[in-house]
Amino acid sequence: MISAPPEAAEGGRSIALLALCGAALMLTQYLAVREIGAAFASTELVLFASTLVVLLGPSLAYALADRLPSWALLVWGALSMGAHLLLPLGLRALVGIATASGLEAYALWLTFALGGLLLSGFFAVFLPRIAREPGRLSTLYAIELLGALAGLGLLALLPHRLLILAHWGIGLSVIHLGLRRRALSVSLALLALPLAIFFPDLEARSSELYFWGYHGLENPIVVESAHSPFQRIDVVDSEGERLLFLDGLLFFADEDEAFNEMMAGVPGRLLPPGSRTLVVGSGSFGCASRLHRRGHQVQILELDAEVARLGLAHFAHVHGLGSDEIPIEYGDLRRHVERLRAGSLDLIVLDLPAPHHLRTALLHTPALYARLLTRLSEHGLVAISLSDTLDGTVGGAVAASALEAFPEALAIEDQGLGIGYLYGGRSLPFGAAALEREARAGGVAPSPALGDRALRERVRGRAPLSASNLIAVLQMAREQIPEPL
Amino acid sequence: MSSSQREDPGAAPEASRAGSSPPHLAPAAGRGSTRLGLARALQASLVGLSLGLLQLSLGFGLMRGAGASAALFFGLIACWIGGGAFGSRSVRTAKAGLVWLLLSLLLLLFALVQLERASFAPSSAWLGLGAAFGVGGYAGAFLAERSASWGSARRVLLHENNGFILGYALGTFILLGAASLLEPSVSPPPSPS
Repeated sequence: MISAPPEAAEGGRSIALLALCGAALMLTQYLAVREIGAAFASTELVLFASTLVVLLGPSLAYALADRLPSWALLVWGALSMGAHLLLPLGLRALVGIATASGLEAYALWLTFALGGLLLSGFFAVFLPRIAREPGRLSTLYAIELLGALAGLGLLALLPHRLLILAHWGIGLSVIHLGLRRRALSVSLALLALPLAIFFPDLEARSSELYFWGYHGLENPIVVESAHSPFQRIDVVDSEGERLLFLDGLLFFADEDEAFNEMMAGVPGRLLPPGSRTLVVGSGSFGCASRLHRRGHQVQILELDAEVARLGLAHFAHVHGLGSDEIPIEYGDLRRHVERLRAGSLDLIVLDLPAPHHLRTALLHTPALYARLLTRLSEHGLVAISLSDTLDGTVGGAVAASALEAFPEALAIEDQGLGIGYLYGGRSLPFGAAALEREARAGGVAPSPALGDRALRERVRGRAPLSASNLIAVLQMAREQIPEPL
Repeated sequence: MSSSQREDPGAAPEASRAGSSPPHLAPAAGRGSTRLGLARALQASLVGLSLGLLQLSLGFGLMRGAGASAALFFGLIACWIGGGAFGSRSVRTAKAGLVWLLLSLLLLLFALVQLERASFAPSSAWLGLGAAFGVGGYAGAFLAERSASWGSARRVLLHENNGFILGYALGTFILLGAASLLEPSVSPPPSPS
């Protein structure tokens, strides 16, 4: 057998190394932004900061690439791989413990300060070191990018746990091919092995520390966690209560039954049975089940199939529904609304996350509300949560959006939760007095309901949330930033 | 051999210690690469900054005009990266790079207008993805061509990436504060009066 000449073998190893680096960088960017975001309450600012950290890594690598002796590269590689092994398991625990000790801001600084260096930097250092002859960059860069494309393929195809394992495997391969120290490769692989085997248990314990320290839950138990392309979803039990978290932000707790009551229960009782309703967002299925029990025709539209799966499986005490009792469609509301017939709905319930991100903020714009209006029947209405009080920054902006689109609107606040609700349409089927009465009948402690004229007076001068005015997203993000920052 | 790869007596012992180890494990001789000079560093940074702004603008345009689906998100990244790989290998000269850039910018502008005018039409999303391939392609072409002609891959990568980060940061705050500055198809907010 003829063996390849040493130069050819070396070239082959360099190509494999760069392709693996590209895949590792792609997976790192996705996983690091996801994990950091879900550990520090995922707002647009946290996503921005974590993306920035991951992008800074390659800059550090390019700045240091020619200055590093091989021993420094060795240390960097070992620390970097350690950080990758700990990221999905240790970050939440660290944040939980730090927050419980009043050190949340330091945990945030530590994560952001070391993130670039330890997470993405190491994988970017090999391209400039291999491409020291500048003319070679075109081929070598293309190889790294093709590796990144392969990483993207893994991202799209693999479930979360396998993706983490693939990421670790690729990272270890980079260490092995890039550093050529068998003892180090074997040691790191031996360290990774038990973490991989006990991954689900370790991840759950880490999350429980997080929910205890960061959210102040007593004896939290993670019932199930899932990772969808959109977010991390956690169902947690604490002191007899079941909670739903999306990317580390509380989306539903049992006390939020008042929310379901105001969004669906109250308008559902004020509409004749058999009304055609669309519930956008599933969560605990509390809105949809209320309307279903009342005898309305209900459809659900959900962006994230994993949220619907977990909601159906773990919130039966809220919804009491069978798995096929209500039809669910999956997709983006802004796309879905184009497929609905004009005048085909009597009630649209927007059970949506607050505008923490650009993508959710775009669901509260006058343009979308105006499209929804065209899908309503003559006396149809849209129920909207303001995610805030009417006078708050976000609540005022959402209300201003709605008032720009709907000819008639009513608003009321739940004084228990401190959240406002708005009902908008062409010609509403009920007035402020009926709204207030039904809210009380549903066990909610409402503020006096505002009729159309009073509501417009109250919101006068507030800028609507729109693609050109997303400042409310920034405001919501700032509210989540730890005090010392 | 480029001027940057001349022997540096200070680095020689380390390099020789590396013995038969692969070249990427040995530190560079000297500082490893030619200094670009301020003008070239600035040019690479400005290109990076523009690419950061363009990527954000395109991402936001697709989110607004084609929806927030996971497939679209992965598609955008795949097209940008695929374009980068294609551009770095196929667009060989500065002149070809410039033509490629102009065509890509035209496509980008057309895509953004179409995403606004014909929101959620599949053709608008495809145009957006095509623009991502084009602009990503220019990024690859620029890095490959300039690192060869300026004699330093590392420094071109460094300054371009720094510029990209700056563009990403700037673009995010423009989006949150005044999206119409970044995406021409977004109309400015009405005045409070």
